[in-house]
Amino acid sequence: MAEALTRLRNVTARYDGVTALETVDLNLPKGLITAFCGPNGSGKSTALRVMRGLHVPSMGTVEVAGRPLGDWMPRELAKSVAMLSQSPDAPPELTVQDLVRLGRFAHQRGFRGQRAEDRIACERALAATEMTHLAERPIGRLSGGQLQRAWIAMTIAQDAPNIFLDEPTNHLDVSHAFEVLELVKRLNRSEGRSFVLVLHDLNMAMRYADHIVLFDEAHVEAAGPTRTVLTERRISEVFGIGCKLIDIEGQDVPTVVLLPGQ
Amino acid sequence: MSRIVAPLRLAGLAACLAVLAVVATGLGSSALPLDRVTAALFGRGEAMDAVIVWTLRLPRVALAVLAGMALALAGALLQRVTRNPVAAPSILGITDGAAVGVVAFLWIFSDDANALAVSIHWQRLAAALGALVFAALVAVLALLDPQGLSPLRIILYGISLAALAKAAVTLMMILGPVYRAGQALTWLTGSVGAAHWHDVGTVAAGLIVATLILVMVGRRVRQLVLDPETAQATGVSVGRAQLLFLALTVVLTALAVSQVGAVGFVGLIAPHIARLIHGQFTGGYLAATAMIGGVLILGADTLARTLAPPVELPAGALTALVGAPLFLWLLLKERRTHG
Repeated sequence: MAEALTRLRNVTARYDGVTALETVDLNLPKGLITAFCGPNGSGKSTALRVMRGLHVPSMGTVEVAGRPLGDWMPRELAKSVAMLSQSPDAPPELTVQDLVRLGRFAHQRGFRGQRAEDRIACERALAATEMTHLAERPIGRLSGGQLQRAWIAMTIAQDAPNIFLDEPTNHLDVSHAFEVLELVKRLNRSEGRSFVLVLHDLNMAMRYADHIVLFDEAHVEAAGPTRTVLTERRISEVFGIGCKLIDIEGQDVPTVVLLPGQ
Repeated sequence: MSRIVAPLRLAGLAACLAVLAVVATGLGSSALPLDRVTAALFGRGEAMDAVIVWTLRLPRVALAVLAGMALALAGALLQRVTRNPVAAPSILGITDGAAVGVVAFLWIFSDDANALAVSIHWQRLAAALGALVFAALVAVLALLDPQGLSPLRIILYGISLAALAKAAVTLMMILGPVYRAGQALTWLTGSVGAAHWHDVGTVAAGLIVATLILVMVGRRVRQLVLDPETAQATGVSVGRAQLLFLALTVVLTALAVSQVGAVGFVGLIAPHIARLIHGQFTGGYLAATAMIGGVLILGADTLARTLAPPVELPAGALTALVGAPLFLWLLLKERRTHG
């Protein structure tokens, strides 16, 4: 198995007494695109937040790159793992450029202003998300898709080798959703960055993820290479809905067709 | 572009503040023309002018400016910590705590003839003590909180204690003699009054410490415009940063209100004006806010003592008189741009 990006050992996490993860063991491989799939409330987002140190588990241990989470200084962790949560928020009058700059916090020291490397990282992030022409625009005047790309640009500007995105295709129409996932793929293949994404759309997961973790009722139902995890039987069981995987000519991955009532 | 303009704007604000300070030093019962003020300031004036400038006017001018800066900074920090643009330092219970101190002082040290038995100067210490006691109460409650330290809970404790303090002040004012009520009311509205250099020194020392801290950790202030989870993901220890800035807000507010009373609207409106003319995401936003706070209280105090001599109006009445309509205008304008 490849080197581990994060390891959860016997992790239980709760919100106000409600168990969101129960005694979960999980190894995530480095250098891949991993997708967390599963029904609503199955523990995907909680797992992501626990892995990034944003939610403290009530039991168990979490390791990032072989070190316990508690050993990381906040800035150091931010340089290693960037994360975009499900509904990030900033004042509407903040410009795209200023938002992206906030992603550079972990790299800046003392009271020196923006350095050349900060500027370059921001410009690259804006270019990668095709937001350069909107850099001066306040985020309150962006469309849903543009706003999501602005937040992704901030996350990329953080220049972390590992990036967690919680439902990055939320609010996006089909073509923008594909654009975001193409960007993820590009950054993974060309720069070797690891991604962990929470994805609802099983076809997107099938197409873009190398590795899948399937959650169900606060447990990990299955984890492994995409094709071995996303099978007709498993999808049917976890989502409680009929499912067929159909090969379409010219497509290198099968299409997931959900069949309600079966 | 903004990299060149921002320092220019800050320099412009500083110049405004300096000019206003010189003019304010000249104005008063024996008005001094500008050349005599500047001569006295640089130690070349007549002996009488020097006394008026250095002993009577300048400490009051300096105190007004510094208290304005402290209140404005407190407001800007609190607005960032709470991510709420209408948060004002008065919600933390500090101002009302200081009011309890002042009214209790007037109660205890007034004699039967309605006169104070000790120097009115001790009123400032009483205000500081009141502010400190209430800040300590809020801190103890927050530390004992079963849900753990959180800015929202601290603010809720502040609001509850402020309500308690307000009730105590009202009762003491109604039960006490008229002199006490009048004196207390002046304080509650906020007024700079006669000042000594050591009052100026106290506020200046507090501001210098706050400035040093903000220079060291100022970037975190900007980072807090993000929601806490996102800010944390960029590498900020959000909880720790919030507590530090809340503590700074408390200290700055206590320093200011113990000197100039419960001057309203400055902590609320100075950050808004700074946002409008400088931008809240531009470097130097806190410096701009502080200078605008200085201009506001100095301007209000100067008007307060020159509008209807020999009566001195409370400066706080003027900041509210100008601040409240200005705030309404800002609110209406905001709706138009975002609607």
